[in-house]
Amino acid sequence: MRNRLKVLRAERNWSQADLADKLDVSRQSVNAIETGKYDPSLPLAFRIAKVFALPIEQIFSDDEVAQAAE
Amino acid sequence: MSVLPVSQNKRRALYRNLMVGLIAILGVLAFVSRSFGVEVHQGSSLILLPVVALAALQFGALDEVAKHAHYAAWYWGCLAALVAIGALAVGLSNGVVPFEPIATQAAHWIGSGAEGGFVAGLLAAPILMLAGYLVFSTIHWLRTR
Repeated sequence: MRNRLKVLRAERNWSQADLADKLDVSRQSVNAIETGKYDPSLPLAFRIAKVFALPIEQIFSDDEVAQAAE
Repeated sequence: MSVLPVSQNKRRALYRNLMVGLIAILGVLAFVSRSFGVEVHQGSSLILLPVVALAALQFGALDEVAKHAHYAAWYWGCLAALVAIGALAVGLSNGVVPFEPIATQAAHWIGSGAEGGFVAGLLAAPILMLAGYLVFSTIHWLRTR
């Protein structure tokens, strides 16, 4: 799974800690998701989408789909 | 109305800090008991109970990534510990691993005789499992810090 968390966060000038506060998770958890070490559950993915006010598919994409698009 | 913080992050930090404080007190009590021969068993038990309750509360307040890290660290840490225990048992029974140094340490820290040996055997597994858990937790922490 790929995600655009880092880019979206940078666009809003948020630190990992800022995003962690908004999601009510630890900063380490944001880092793990952002770097692809952990794929979030659907409820957390929806929370992330809500925080960024974007559809979920604009934040997360399947590896194969992303590679095909490239 | 709850007096606990609404934020899961703050609740988790509160439980963790209380737990660390109580465990530090347990450590001091163990040191005092060892060094000065003071009886601390009842006091330690009274402190251990809230630590267990706080551990359960803290686990409930963990986010899913931290929970997953705990599961993974327990799985791999305990698996590594089981392999170590098996290897140790085979080594001891074949005489490849010397028994004397281990028995001496067990007698020094836990007690000698059949009772001491039994308690040492009981403690060996959880101690090795905890060590394995700490190693894998540290690896996860280093990867995601």
